[in-house]
Amino acid sequence: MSPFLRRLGYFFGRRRFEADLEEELRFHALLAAEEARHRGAEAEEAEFEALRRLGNRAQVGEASRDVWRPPALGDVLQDIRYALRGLRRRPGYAAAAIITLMLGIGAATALLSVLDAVLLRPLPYPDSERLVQVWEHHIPRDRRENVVAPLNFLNWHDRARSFEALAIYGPASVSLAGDLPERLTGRAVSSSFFAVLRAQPALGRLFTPEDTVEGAPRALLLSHALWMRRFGGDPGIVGTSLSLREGGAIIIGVMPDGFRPLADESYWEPWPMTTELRTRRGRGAPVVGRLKSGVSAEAADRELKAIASVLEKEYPDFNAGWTVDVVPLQQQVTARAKPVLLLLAGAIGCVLLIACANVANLKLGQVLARRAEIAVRAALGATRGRILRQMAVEGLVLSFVGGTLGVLAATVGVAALVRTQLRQIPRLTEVGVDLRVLGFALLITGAVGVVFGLAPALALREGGLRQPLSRRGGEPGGPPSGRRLRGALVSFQVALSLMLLAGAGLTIRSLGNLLSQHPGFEASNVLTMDLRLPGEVYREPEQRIAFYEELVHRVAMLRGVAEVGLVNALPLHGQPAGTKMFVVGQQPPPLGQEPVGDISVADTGYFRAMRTPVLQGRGFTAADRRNAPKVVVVNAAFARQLLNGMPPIGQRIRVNLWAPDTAVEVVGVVGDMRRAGLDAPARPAVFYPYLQEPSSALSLVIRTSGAPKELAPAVRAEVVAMDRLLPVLSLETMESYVAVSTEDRRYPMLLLTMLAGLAVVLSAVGLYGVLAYIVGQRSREIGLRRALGATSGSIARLVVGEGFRFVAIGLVIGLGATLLSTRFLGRLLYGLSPNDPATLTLVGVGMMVIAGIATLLPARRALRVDPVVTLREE
Amino acid sequence: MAVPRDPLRVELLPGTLDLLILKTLSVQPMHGYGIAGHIGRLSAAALRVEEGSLYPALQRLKLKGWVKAEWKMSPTNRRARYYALTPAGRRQLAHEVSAFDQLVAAVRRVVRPA
Repeated sequence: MSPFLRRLGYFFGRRRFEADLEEELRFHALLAAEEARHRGAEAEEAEFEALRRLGNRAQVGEASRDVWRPPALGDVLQDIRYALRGLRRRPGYAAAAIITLMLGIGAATALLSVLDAVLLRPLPYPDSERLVQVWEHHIPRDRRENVVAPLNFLNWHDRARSFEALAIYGPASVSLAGDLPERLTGRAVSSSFFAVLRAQPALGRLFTPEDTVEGAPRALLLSHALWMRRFGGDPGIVGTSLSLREGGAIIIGVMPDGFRPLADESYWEPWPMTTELRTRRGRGAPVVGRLKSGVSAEAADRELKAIASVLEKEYPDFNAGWTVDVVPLQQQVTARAKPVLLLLAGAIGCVLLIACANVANLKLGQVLARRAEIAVRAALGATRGRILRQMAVEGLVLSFVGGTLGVLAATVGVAALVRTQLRQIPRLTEVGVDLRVLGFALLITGAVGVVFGLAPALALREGGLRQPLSRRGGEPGGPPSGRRLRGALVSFQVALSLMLLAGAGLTIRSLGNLLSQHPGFEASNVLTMDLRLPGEVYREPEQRIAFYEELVHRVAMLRGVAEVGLVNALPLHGQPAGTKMFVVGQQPPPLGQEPVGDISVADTGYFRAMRTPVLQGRGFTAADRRNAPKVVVVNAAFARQLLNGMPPIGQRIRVNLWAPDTAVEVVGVVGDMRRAGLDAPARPAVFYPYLQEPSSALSLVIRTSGAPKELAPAVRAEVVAMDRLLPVLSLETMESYVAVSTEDRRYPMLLLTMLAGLAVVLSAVGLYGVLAYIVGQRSREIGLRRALGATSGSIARLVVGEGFRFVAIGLVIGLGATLLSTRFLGRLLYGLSPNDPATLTLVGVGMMVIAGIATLLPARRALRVDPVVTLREE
Repeated sequence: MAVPRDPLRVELLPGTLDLLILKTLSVQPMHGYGIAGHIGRLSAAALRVEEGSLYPALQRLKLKGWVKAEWKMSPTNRRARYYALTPAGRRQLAHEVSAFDQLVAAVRRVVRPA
């Protein structure tokens, strides 16, 4: 049996051990007292002797227990005390190491909490791995992730066997009438929606087929939040009726707290299978499903693709070229954010490594400077293991202090991030520093501590332990192994920093390229307002036109308004509706390959207000009204792609969505506007005059002479004056939409830049530290050289050359790593190649300049070495 | 430790306590009080072993596997923990005796050069 096992036996039999020891010592005391009496001592004295021994007993017990305890524990506590004392004695070194670690570990912890919530944790539904999203996919145009045609959904629903439940949903809203009018955002969902998510109401019931029968009262399910806010959590709410602006409704239930799968809805109503939706006209609704247990997403994908190819043959006019994609919901939710988050994880990993290298370097410097002390300890009998443990403990102490501060910083940072409510990060509200993240932080902290704590031990090879005692001052420059190690660490840091700098440089230039793209309109000094006229109230086209005409008239009269225009959907704001379009007289292209473009409704002032030029023909006029000939304006991309050089004006075209059989005449061509994003070239677009197609969605474009935001209250007041109950959906400047459209590049760019900056600063500090140390070690040699007539130039060359050797190695390695890694920037790049030579040259030179600055200070110190002082010291 | 009251008493050299205990137990298994008494008697009361060092030392020897402990009845019919040498303990004893002899011889050569 080994001592280890015996020790284990003690650990589990401690109670027995105590009892045995107690009895043994009592036995001893008893015999001692007896013997004392025997020797004829006074009874009193014997008593006293026994008591003295008894008092001693606690000490004896403690000493006996100590034998069995792992020896490390006490020693480790001592090591920790020793390390803390050592750090207090060297506050500069301690602060530098702790701050470095705080930044590294803090950044890693913050990012991990985001990664954990966004990518790793399952969605908050039972058996969420069986949830999928279903898209339509147009193969000839490679248009993926297209929302679904309701009738196609019904066909899948009836034919597919892979799903336990398949649901469709779409936007819905109602206006609460009464004293406190309010517009509520909700969702119209098919009754299977709740089965897909496995959700049960907290109160009342879910939808039944009866709720969708024509003439049934409008049934509403409330969200928990709405129920609490609007109805005070009244448990008797179920079954009561509600007075809406759109008519009556009945509350059938309340969903549980926290159930809000689409994030912004406050109620649900049944999906209306109206006759309008029963024609195959457009694709407009998301579909989600729950797979049967044991059915994989791939199998469901195959089944739906097979059904889709049947539907393609059954309804070629509508379905030619369309197939279906089934995507696991978790993957869908995180798909866009994932590559960027992984990229940032890599960048933060690099920063953490640089931080570790820096602390290892600091530590190494300390260890080499303390070689004499260590040698004394070794000479006094400390074993090599003891000294190494001491170093590891010091590393751990540093990294735990740094790690604790880092976790605190990460907690604050993550809370700030959640408050930004960035739309680019899905599931952001679930992000937080929790136990899992803390566990990870603890793990990396421990690993970091041990790694950089022990790395310097490499410099203290067996023979190196005692040797420094024998020679005063040691070799110039320290032992070669230490110097090489420190140089290697610096090269490593330079390489990683160069990679991060290149990433930052490329994303900065990409954003610059993007922002210099002219979107086809002038975004400055434009205020926009979105409204939606409720169909139940503004049923007739004349009502909508009357509302529009009065609104434009009122806003145009406001002070500070230069132009007013109207469109049904603003560029860079939401997905524009797309549909097939044909030119009359042209051979129609094969089914499924028809050109697709955007359609919008604009008024007479829109192009003027947006400063989008009319290139040919004319814009709309007041004469383009209901009974006048139907006209449209197209954009330059339409003329280029559909008209093959024919003169556009006077061409007649047909558009599938609104009036497939009516040909309309092109009266003008306007410049292209980027609608889907600054990086997406304009598609063909057709504009209809508002007076001929009065839509219920209105976006007012108001060009102002002053700051656009200042006009917002006055504009809102005009809407309230016209219709008190009409909610203003948004009131934003056009510039803010441009900014939002670049957010998914801007934030990664900012983060990468910050990380690169951090990396460069850390590396520069590391380089400076190493060179300063080397100059310190070599001051004797430098002094001798000076005494022997070396010039300032040659001394400076000596130091700078030493520094640049490390930097040059780092740059070469870094460049190689950069060339291999920039392709991970992927979508973040715009308008340049991942290995853009200009950018890479620039960051390489930048890194060299920074390294130069970091070497200058030590070089200056080397120049100040006084040969007289050195010689006197010898 | 306090100054020894009895001028005859000498301090134990570090490490010799283990040797003394092992040697004592090589005679026969004994309880702690017996060991202390035995060492005291044989050294003519020059060496006094306190409980404070005796019992931790016994635990240390036990941990190293040189002695084993067993509860038995003493001749006065009391329950006492008896310690006995293990085979490993016997080997250790031989080793320590020779090491001690070398040490004493070396010290003597220094202290009383021939």
